[in-house]
Amino acid sequence: MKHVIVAMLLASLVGCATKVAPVNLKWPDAPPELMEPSEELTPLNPDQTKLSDLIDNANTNYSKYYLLKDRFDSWQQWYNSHKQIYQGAQ
Amino acid sequence: MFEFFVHYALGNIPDWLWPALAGGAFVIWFFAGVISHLPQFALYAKLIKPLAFIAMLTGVFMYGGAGVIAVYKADVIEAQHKADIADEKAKAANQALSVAVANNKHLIEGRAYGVRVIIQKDKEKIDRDCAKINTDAWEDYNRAIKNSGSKILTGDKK
Repeated sequence: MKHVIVAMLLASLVGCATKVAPVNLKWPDAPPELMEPSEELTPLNPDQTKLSDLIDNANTNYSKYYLLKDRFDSWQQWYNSHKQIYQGAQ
Repeated sequence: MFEFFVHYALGNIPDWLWPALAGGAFVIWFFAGVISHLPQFALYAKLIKPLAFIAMLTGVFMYGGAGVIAVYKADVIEAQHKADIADEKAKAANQALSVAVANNKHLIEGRAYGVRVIIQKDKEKIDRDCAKINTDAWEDYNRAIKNSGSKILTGDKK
């Protein structure tokens, strides 16, 4: 009788586990604003030879830089926030 | 065949069947032990007893497996719940970021426009001292503008 009880206990402990359903953790989408292609800087037109034209062109290019910088910073923020969320889901 | 057996046959067998099998087999095994003392049934008891023992062992083994699966299932449900919460948080974070990027774009373009208006207003004053930029100056300026890097990204084989 003792052997039977021991055999039953062992059998229950090594019982086969066969089915484990997968967890569906989706890769997050990036905001569409961050997926826009980057703009090239605007060169100075050879016909525009005045200093005001140069300053105006520099102003255009500086604004492009700041737009790109903002998107770059946003990508870092996106990565950090989603990394934090992902780690919280572990 | 084994895959089919594991996924479809075992997956659809109710959990209560295994303790019922073990319990039933135990009862049979017990009574087989009892009737083995009766000479006229001793031969049947010898045959039934090992079969009942195997059935009991199978029932307990499978019931143990069902218990492990139940624990796994609970873990999976909890993990899926966490994943769903993470998905909601990700959507909210994206929405907030999207609004911030759109606002900043509006702000930067607005400021650039403001500066352009000032440049136009001061155009005469600015051009008074420098009516024409030297050709070399704008060429050098454009050379600096075209200072872009390679477009080959990490992981590209070409």
